[in-house]
Amino acid sequence: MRSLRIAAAALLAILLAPNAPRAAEQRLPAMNDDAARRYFTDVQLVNQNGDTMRLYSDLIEGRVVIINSFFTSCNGSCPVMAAAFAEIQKHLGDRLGKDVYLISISVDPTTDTPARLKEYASRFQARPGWYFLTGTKANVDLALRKLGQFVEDPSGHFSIFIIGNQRTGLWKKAFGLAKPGELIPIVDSVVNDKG
Amino acid sequence: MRVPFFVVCASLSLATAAYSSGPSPLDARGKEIYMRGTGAITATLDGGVTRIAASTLPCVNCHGRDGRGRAEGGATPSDITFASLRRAYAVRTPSGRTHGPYDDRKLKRAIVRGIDASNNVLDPVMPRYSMSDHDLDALLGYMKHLGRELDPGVSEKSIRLGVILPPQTTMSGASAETRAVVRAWFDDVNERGGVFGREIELAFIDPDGTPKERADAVRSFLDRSSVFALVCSFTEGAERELSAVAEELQIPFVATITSNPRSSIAPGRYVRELFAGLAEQSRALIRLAGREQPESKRIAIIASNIRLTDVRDAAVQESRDNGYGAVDLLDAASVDAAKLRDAGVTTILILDPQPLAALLPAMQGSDWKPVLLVPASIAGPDLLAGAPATSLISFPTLPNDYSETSIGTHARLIREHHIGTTHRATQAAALASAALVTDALTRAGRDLSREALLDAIDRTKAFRSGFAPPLTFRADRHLGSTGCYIIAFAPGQPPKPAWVEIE
Repeated sequence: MRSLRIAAAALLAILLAPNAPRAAEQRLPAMNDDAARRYFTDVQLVNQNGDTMRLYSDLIEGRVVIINSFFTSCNGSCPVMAAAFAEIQKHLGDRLGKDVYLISISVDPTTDTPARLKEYASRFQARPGWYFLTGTKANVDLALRKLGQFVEDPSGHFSIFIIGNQRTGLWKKAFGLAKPGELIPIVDSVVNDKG
Repeated sequence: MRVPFFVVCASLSLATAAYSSGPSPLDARGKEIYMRGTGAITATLDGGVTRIAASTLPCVNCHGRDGRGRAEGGATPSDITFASLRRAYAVRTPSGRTHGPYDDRKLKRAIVRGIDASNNVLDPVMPRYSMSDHDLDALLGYMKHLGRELDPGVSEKSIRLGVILPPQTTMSGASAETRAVVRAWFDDVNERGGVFGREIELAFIDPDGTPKERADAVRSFLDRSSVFALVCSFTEGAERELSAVAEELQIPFVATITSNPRSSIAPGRYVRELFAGLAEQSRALIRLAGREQPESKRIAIIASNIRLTDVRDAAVQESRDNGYGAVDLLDAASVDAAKLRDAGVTTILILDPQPLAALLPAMQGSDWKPVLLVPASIAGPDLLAGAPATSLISFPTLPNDYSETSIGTHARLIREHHIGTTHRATQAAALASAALVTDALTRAGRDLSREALLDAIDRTKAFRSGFAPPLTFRADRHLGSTGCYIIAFAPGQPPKPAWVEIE
């Protein structure tokens, strides 16, 4: 099965590549083990509470994740995407923090300290299970590269949500500035996916 | 129907009068809503239920101070200036909707329910705002001035710029020469007709005392005199405090000069700085020294000043990135040459000159010859050129940055305005700032606003002032020059210069 697992990681890399279509989906052969861990790595990030989190083991493994990138000093699209996350959070109810995580990764980790992220999170009434992540620039850059969200200049960030079900291997991308009413069915299709 | 000419003239003059009479108290509340979204106002997305404080999503974020809107992150906000919304014909928005003219009722409906003047649903990026009728009236009132209200310090005939000079008490010569040369430069600009017909007026201040006292003096100066932007200003020793005033008052603080800029560590929305400072120079020095040193290397960083903590942290990170196995942090009082030698220190970054008095003699006649890394503003070649070991000295700018034209201009200004010549380098830095500001004001256009000036600065690519290295700014780069010259002084060898770019 080794070759299949590597192939799965390659497919994931293609889906997450920055130049992949912004609305796309990919079903991957289940890769709930070493292949995914090797692809994402356990690079260490820091959440809004100052806790260290490993990208694969603490955030992605065995869960559904909805991921975007942003920065707190962005005045344009980032607060709108965060508002959409707040709507998704509301829709998820008590599944958030159990088998579904919302993950917002800063593209400006030098400025976005955990304290700054905590203040930002409170503006959107973020509940446990919605993680705002920063860390050393090298670590955050690696995580963003793995997710196809790395940009040199924070203001060039993507407005894309990556929605993935690690258990079933279903990964989708959606335009983060779409209406919540259009985003929620996409989220549901991944959350409720049975493989 | 023909309209008599005098009626047209009368209407025009009435419109002008309404505009120049300035906003009413209700409009002031409207401006507060537009700019900050304060008060009991909430925003929700189309079809959403989560209410978010409008202060997180105020109108200005997307539509800009002038109401024209700037594309960002896949969103293309509409032009919401009064003239654009009231156009009597169908308007096509950047997202492809077509709508007719708005009246007040339709505009309120757009803000509250997200429906445009022709009953289309607005782009989902535009939130729906819930606010009192009073606030809605206030916001509409202010929106009628959008793009027509002149920023403080600008009139049809003039632009008033503030200049913070070096402190008169401690640097009287540099202060007087800077004042004279900046005045001479803008006199020249005014003689050529100003900028879009507007004369440049200057208001000087030379605050002294503690950083807080200097900041307080500048705050009260700005409260007193209506200034469009602070330019050609020296912030040395009070960078944080003075920048905080500019951020608080939302006044562009452009092309400031200091050896310790904060822009690459904690960039401000309104602050743009000119040259690489101690952080950038330290990193460049470490990078260059790291390339030329053997595998096993150990660096000692000597910094005592609490204001240099960020610089020290940047130096530590750069040392690790360049393969220094061990990094020793010392303050001046704890420097012991024998201990450093025994620990095998190969490189010393000097951010406090005081220990040099003991270090240099200790290296004389010893086989311990660590490379000394020194920004010129800490200790210059006069102190280090004869050192018993290699020293690398960094300079954010050198006279070879001056162009022939600029040397001629500077000489003429000195001659015509009888300016002293003791502080030529300080004058050159002020002129680099003045040249950049003049260029940016011109590129900002006739519809000048503080936002347009900052935009123009951020669109500056490799600007050659003739007095400084090429200057480049971007939305995420608020320091014009991020590299520095490093001159290596090695015993018995001619000085060797190099340019090291950090970004």
